[in-house]
Amino acid sequence: MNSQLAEYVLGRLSQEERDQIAERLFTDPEAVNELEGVEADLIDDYARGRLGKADAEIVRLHLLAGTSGKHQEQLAVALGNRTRTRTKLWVVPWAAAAAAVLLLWFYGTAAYRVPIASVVLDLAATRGNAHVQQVNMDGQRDTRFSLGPDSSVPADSQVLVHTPQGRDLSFRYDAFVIRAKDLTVGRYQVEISQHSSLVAAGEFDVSLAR
Amino acid sequence: MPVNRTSDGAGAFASLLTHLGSGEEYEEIRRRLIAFFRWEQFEDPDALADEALDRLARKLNEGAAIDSLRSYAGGIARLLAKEQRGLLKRERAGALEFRRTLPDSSEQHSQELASTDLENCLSSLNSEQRSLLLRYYGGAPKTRIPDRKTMAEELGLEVNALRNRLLRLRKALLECMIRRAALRDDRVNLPTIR
Repeated sequence: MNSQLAEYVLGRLSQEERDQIAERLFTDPEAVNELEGVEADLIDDYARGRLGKADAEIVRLHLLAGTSGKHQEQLAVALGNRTRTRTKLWVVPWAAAAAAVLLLWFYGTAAYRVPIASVVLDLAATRGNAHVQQVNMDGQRDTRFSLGPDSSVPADSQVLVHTPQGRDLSFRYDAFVIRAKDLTVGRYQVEISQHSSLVAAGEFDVSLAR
Repeated sequence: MPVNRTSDGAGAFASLLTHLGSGEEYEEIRRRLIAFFRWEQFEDPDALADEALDRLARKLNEGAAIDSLRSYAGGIARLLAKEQRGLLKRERAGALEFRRTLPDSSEQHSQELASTDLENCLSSLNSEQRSLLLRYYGGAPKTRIPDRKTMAEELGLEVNALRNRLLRLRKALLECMIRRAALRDDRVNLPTIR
């Protein structure tokens, strides 16, 4: 990021320096794009908690104060969440069916658990993986996976679930029940219950976001 | 483009549009004015941009000879900022304090909806645009400059051209999210029919 332009956008330059940049804003065709690019990066950094307190306050009170400010902030937060830790979850329905039959026999009519899914963590930020899926008697399938031991996931993280087509299923509580809790320091467990009608979708993106 | 021009100013406004030759140039000047007043940290950049445009229109209507309308608009904006700075200083301190303490209990829910909107809006982009956007805005600050340079090289573009392309995509996403939020608000605010 061009530090002088960032300082301008944050209102930190002297009046003389400000006037010079303002002059460019109205005479140089590229200046507005350059400055808006710097501003977008500052807003993203703010939304991802990467700015110091003073800079964050300026972004919140001035850059996000206009009519579209709320939406700009939401876009930056959502983009940050979207580009954060991403995990692939593959669901294998036929394996579930086969395993369910076996375990139903083994456990009788009690709730049974069948590992059928694999979770692959594809970003260096989240090391380690677990691959367990459970099938309950009510037709719901619970998938559990853990991140760790050296992943660092804040306790207020959310789990986002998307289909390969980009459809967001995260907030369809009728379809998914998502629970996440910090088990131990540096270790995180996420539990997803998905309705059996969605299993056929085959592949989901699962990501953690704050 | 604002349409609430006073009848007194209608002639001046028409004169401004004639000089500009296109609505596109009007929007470009207005975009710079709004950005200028935002970065000067004024409370209502849109209103001040419109005031600057009104003054520009009046000047033109009075027959002032102006070489570059953009540059002249910039001069008006800086003058207006100077006028307003002292005037608004005291008011702004109070307003900012108010905004700082404004409670927003629905913030989390609203963000959840925005994330859903983003996914829907992203799906309206083609896969190349989508991955470009997520890669461009997904990097860490420390590696942002080299990462973007690499991206530009891969695409055979100048860094500035890549930035402009991504700014347009980001703007389209923002507009899409605003539209979706507005539609949702309309649905929420629908009157109950008995």
